[in-house]
Amino acid sequence: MTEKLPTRPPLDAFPYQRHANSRPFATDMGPGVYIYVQDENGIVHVLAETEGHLHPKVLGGGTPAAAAGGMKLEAGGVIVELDNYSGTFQFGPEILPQVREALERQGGKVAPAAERPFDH
Amino acid sequence: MEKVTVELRNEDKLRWLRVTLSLLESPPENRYPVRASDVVCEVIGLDALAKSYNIDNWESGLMSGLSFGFRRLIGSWRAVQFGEIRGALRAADMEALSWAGTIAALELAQKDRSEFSTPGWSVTVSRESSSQSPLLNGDPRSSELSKSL
Repeated sequence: MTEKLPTRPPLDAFPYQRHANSRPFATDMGPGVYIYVQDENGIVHVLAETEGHLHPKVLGGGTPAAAAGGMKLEAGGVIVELDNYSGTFQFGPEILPQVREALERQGGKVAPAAERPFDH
Repeated sequence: MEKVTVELRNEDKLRWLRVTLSLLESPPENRYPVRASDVVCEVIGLDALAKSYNIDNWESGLMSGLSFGFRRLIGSWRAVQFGEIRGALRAADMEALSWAGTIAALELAQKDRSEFSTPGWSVTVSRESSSQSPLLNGDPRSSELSKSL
């Protein structure tokens, strides 16, 4: 992917350090609930949702995002839930197709009925 | 309508916040939290970044905490309305607003919050239901609960 995606800055602009456990999505991740942030290059970065308010720490440094939300992962990189909810970035459901595409490009499988759009 | 007010005060006695949230009666499925028509946001910024913030910024932290509370700790989403965000905060205190959101979610769902910690901040919660006066029905949950965690 060479073309940069449009981005928006975090509403919490504090320059947090990137979380030590934040990493690009990959199929070796264990089952669980994660949050994600997609960067301007289209890469989806994920972090286990062990506490609240983690979205600004996925990329860190007040970095703008192309998409953000949450996901539920089952074994083998199968995403069974995918949403666009993020207090920090507040994207609409229009980002879900590009996130699905990126996750599949990164090796994941998104279940057909996985998408759970949040509307304003 | 169930309404909860959550107040957090830092041990430095300078920083504090108060938020009021209500459950919407007929919650639309998967809807971002909404503002009440008479929403109040009065936050004194205690550093340069916090001084630049408006309601959009402060409510973002609250939204993060609500999501963690409803979706991760409780397991089901509820549509919520903000009525009030007040306080005196630094930009780095957004996490405290997130904690307030999580506590509000647990209170609105009448779930135990004793395991949820807020290091360095004391918590006070008050709740009311518009269908019944909390002062008349004797509901012990309607009295002010105060707890330092």
